[in-house]
Amino acid sequence: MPDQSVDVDEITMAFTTRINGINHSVDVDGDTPLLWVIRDVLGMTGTKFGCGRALCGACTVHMDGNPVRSCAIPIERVGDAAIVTIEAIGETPAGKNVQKAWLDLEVVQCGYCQSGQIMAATALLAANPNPNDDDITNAMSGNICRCGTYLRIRDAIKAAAQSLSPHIQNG
Amino acid sequence: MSLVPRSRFKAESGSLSRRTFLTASLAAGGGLLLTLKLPLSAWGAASGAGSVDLNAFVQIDPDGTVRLIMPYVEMGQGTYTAISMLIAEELEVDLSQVQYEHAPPNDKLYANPLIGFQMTGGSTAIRATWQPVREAGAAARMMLISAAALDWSVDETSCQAAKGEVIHLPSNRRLSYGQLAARAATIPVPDKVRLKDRKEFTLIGKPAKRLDAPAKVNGTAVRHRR
Repeated sequence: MPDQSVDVDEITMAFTTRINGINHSVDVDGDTPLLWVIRDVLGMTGTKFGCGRALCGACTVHMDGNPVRSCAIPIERVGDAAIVTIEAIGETPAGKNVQKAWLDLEVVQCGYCQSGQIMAATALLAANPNPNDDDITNAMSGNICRCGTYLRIRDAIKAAAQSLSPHIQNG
Repeated sequence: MSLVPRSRFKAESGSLSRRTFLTASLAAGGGLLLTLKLPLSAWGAASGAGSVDLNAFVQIDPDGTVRLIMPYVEMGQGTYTAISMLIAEELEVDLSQVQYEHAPPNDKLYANPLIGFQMTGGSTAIRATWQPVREAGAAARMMLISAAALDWSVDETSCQAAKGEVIHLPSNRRLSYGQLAARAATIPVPDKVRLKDRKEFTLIGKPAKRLDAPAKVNGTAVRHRR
């Protein structure tokens, strides 16, 4: 872990956060966004900083399986929750299938939003293995993509659903 | 408005363009390093930071890896994949054998020859690389064939390059590009190269998987290479 030198006057405390199955102890202010801990303190740069205001979805990670905007979650509110980031999402069945579908259908263009898109899509499929178009729109509407990859994202989510549950007809 | 008049560029050439200068040298570790020097276009010279010393590099490592320094930024337009296809096509290697590294910021080394500074845009990346990168690939292929022919003491015309190897057709002997790279670095850069005819293309003009996509779906993309 990088050395986190701070002003002696600054009040910090250690937080232990479980990220991708590993406990990390970090010395930061309690209001430090989870995203900053992930990227700047722990050096895991797959999760992207987009708007910093929970408006774009680029920083989406899983918190106990739910997609959350890590830029707007202070570390003091994470507590014992299990955090999963793009670096480890491929270890889950849904994440692995989503990543494969993303490559098979060539979803990615510039790629900046795609970590967040994949985290949101994986959370959707983990909760709903057979989403219809409305389900997909609802689950993904908080993740914006300036390249405009939305149609391929929708197709890739359907492809991933199909490979996860081949017996289910996509709605 | 187009940044550069299209008439400035010839689409095809049977010989090394007078505007492209290739130099070869032995790379650290025993590979073949090709440097392309692309004089600035009139527009680039007028708008840019001065002359371009070197603005593209192709290296063949002893393990056969073809490495490209990419002076153009991948923004989803596919330039990493397309430029890799240009070199792979003429060099006769699989696209999977090509690795790229993003060029660091340096106007002197990596200026866009059509613009005059290190810049990606205006649909210039392929227009700037289409001919010189293919010429570099073709020249490297010829030098690798020459190195193999010397090694075997056979005529070059009895040798052929395919999938990262030089093959001596009558005897079916083979040497990989990696094995040949250091010796090829001692071969003079050919004055004339024959670029493939469009009908001979096996990569260019055909769909290819984006080389940058895997790193963008698993969170490793910051490494600027694959």
